[in-house]
Amino acid sequence: MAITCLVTAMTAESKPLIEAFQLKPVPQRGLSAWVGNEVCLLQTGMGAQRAAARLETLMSILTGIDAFINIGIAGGDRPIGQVLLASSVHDHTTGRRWYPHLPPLPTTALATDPANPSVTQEYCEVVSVAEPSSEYRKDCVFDMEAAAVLQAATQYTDLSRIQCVKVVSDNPQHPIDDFSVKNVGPWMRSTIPTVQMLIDWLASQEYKNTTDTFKTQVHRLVTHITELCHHSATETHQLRRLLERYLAMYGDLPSIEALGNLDSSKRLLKHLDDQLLSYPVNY
Amino acid sequence: MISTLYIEREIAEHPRTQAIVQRFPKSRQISIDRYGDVFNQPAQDFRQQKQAPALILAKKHGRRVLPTPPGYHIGGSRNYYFSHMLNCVYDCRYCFLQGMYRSGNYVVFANFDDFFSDIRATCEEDTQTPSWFFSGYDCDSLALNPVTAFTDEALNEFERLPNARLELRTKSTQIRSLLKRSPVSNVVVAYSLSPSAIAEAHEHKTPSLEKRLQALQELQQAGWTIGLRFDPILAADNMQTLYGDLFRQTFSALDVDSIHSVSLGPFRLPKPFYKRMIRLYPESQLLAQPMNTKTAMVGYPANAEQDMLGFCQQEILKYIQPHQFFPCVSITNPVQAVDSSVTSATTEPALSASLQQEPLS
Ligand code: SF4
Repeated sequence: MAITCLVTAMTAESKPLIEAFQLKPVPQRGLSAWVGNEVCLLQTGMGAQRAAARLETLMSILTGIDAFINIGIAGGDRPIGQVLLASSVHDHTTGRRWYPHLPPLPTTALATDPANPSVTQEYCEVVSVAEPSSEYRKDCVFDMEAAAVLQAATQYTDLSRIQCVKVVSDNPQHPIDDFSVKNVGPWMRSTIPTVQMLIDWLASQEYKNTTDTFKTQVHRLVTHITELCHHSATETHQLRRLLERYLAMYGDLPSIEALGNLDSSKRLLKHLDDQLLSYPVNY
Repeated sequence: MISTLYIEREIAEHPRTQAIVQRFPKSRQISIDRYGDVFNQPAQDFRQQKQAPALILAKKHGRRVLPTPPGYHIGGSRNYYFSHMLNCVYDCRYCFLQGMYRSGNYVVFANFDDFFSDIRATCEEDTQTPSWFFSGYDCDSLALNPVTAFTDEALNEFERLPNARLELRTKSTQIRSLLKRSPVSNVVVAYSLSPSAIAEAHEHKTPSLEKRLQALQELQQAGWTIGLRFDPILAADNMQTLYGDLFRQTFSALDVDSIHSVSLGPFRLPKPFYKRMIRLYPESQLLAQPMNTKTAMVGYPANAEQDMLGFCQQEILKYIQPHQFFPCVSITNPVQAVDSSVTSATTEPALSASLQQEPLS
């Protein structure tokens, strides 16, 4: 089952999402993580290094995560509470920039503001800085984690499966000194339609599930065969590709029994190769 | 439907950029410095992006017109190619773009005028010999024309360049803008054709063979010069029936004598592209077929390839004259001898990466 991992920095950001997605704690010491049906949440704490380390830990204990959405507050010259989908994420320290592949335009308005349900999704660049910023600009918002999450998450998946959603918490009229943590809950709740839209889009990428299932099927059989019959690293690689090709051509994998006597890796590879050569291709 | 437009700041005010942007009033617009920042960034999924590609509007710097590899021609001695666009609206499973680019997004270089001035300059290098320019290596020449209007402008330009020749390589039936005007005599509209069953199986989102043939007929009737590209030839146990029928259907639909050129090419991919493509499409039957992967170019085993090409050559030469025929590789196994000019058109093995797999569009 493919899981989308929501990544937040602070407890106040996590709580509304944990409630909304009905997530249960992951029992792992030193890790603030929750999991539910097709969604999990990782709270990294502040700072880039923590984000990378916690993501790595989560990936080692929870299988099936194949998408990430960083969600949190950010400051900019925009209305307080405005929800933004990041068009790009810029690491101010290193100068590195990522462009997540954005989903198709939503066909219906996202009700990010209950008072104004026709509001359309806004986009802008998220600039991650090392220290809280009191600079406010119209063309970007500032946060402290997005770049670290992007950097870490690209180790595991591609940029269409890593997105970033921010809600404006401070602006020139309400600077960071006025910030009160009690406002974070309602702001984070207003991100949920955007987050849900992303989760639905990610889940709708059927081909991804198909290829994942395809690769998993092949992987299982490779593991099984190599337990029964020694294959060198190169032979294992050849076996994997032959079985992929077999599955692509025949629509199913051979049973262990059909592979015959598994006493020689070379004979097995030859057997599979012969089967593929004899497959009739007709249109 | 394009949901996202990335626009290079440098080209944002260009009238052509603005005209393209106006065609997508609802799209989100994102300003960027250089197209490569988006197009070439790591951690992209070509296959996923292909489902909802973004359009990147950029300015092409550097060399815009490049010589084709030695031996690549359809009768000329000065041969060049250019790419005003990267990537394609179609999704052919054999297309090398899937292996060449990290991104499935489209790039359109809006500075057409710079391409045209480079083309003019290239022609002026030798005014005695015609210079051929091939469009449609990294895209389909016509498919996005309703958005870019590239063809219209290119035709205006080539009309003024009697010493230049242009090949528009396509599978698209977007020919309205061509039919609206008088034919341009130094332009060849070349269609890539495959048997219907193969097109249906592997040339996703493309017009059917029947529609392509209809477009060819309309163009020919309107006085345009046409070319045919049977490329890539794909393996099948019933390939002789498939391709025999294709050639019969094609040549019976057209005025054969006035066809400018017919080319024939095998399925071949540089090995790194092939590897990337099987990672993207592990379940593809086409890519799962037996291939010779021991050489730098992955293709069908040599004997099988020669048999297929030999058969196709023999069949094609039943309909056309040898001077119209341009195979892309040496065919050493022809069932019937061909004119020596044919082998001189053979594509050399040491081609640039993007040109090694020739059959685009
Ligand atoms: S082979 Fe040609 S038509 Fe097909 S996807 Fe590639 S460029 Fe487009």
